Amino acid sequence: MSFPVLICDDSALARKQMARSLPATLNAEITFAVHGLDALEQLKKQSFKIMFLDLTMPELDGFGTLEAIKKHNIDVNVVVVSGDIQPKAKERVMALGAKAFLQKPIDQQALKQVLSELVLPTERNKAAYIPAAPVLSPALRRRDIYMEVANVSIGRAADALARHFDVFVHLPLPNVNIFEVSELHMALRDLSNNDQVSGVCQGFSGEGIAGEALVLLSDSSVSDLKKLMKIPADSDELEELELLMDVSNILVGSFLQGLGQQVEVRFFQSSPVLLGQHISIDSVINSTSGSFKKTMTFEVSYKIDGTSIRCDLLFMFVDESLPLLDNKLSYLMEDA
Amino acid sequence: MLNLPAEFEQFHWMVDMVQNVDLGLVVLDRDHNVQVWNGFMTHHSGIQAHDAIGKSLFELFPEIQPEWFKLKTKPVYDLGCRSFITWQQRPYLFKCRNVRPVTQQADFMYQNITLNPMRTPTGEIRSLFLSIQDATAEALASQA
Repeated sequence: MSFPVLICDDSALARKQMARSLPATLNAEITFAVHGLDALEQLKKQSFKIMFLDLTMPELDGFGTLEAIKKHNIDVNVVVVSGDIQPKAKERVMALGAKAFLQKPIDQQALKQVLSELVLPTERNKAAYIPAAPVLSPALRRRDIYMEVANVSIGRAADALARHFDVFVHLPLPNVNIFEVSELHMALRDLSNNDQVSGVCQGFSGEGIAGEALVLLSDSSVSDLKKLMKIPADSDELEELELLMDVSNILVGSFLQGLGQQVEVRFFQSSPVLLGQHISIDSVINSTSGSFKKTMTFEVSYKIDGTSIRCDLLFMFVDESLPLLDNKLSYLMEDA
Repeated sequence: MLNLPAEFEQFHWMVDMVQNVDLGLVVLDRDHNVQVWNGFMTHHSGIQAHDAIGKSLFELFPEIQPEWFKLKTKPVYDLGCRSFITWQQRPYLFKCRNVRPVTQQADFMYQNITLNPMRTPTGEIRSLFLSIQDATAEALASQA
């Protein structure tokens, strides 16, 4: 007897990893969906015992998918598998009817525990030999791997921010691109919407992989941020500056932790440097024409729930770091 | 047995370096009590290691605001990442005399400080260390 399972994730790597993590004894018959709307289509066509659902996806995210499942009374055990590990994200999905929450990258023990709760012993195949179910796994591209690695790291940074300020952070879909200098400038211009920004940069390195992080906070965000920090409104520029530096450092530090865990490198950030306060994006652009040709850039925009805080984060790995990073991530390609 | 003296010698070198490096090194436990106080700190603050060790940082330096300082240590303990205090935000944490009182026009030593997590062999963070850099030259150059 086969066990129908639906895996819904926009990342090809994540779908593949999830499929591979399921124990053979489950004899799972796996169907893939690439976003929430796709998953709802599949749920209409046939019934599934378990659905593994990502949260951060295009078209319809995991929260929306859970709402739709609840609204249409679809009978399926949903296990949320996400890089968004904020306590409030977990609370929200459990309230929306999810049965369990697994953190990315998947821990085998945790998955085993969840499966033992959701799968009846009678549904398990006890046979000694099970012909391997042909899992039609999607082809992986280099970009898929970087996207998923970025996703998990971004989740860590959001969680750090959420815990530090006790807020809920809306997790964006990251962008990963290889940029030439001029393309990087175009990307920066796209971020700004003519608003004035404050910019902080911070270099980092680990085992020869070096890069720089850029944190841009729109001016309208700074006063809201002060409220979160409970700083008296009449405090001077100096404290605002320090707040800006601290927020940047927390975001950069926690992203690097998440990335470091996945590539097995310990990254060290150097001290944050202010590019400018209340400046136009053009003056930020002027300060990014350093000595590099190509950069791999991870772009993220965080928004904090109930505030107007918007924060753009760019992680740029330059020239000679790219092959090193590829090399460190090759384990994800190989076992595919 | 032949290896032992070499290891001892290396250990002594380590201690010697920590004591004499041109960088302040201070280890603090979770209650902000001083555990290590190197030569740089002794020379520039005038506080001897045996007077500093075991005492609270806030007792030794009453001008450091505990609430503010705890906010700085939070990411170190919670996230295991570094935290920074730069002279642009706070000119100094430990008030020390400028090392060139005659040829440099500064009343005190500007400092760049990094707070680093220290992990136990099991990966827990029970203490942190501060590294204190003299940034007076940089500060004066940028103000000129």
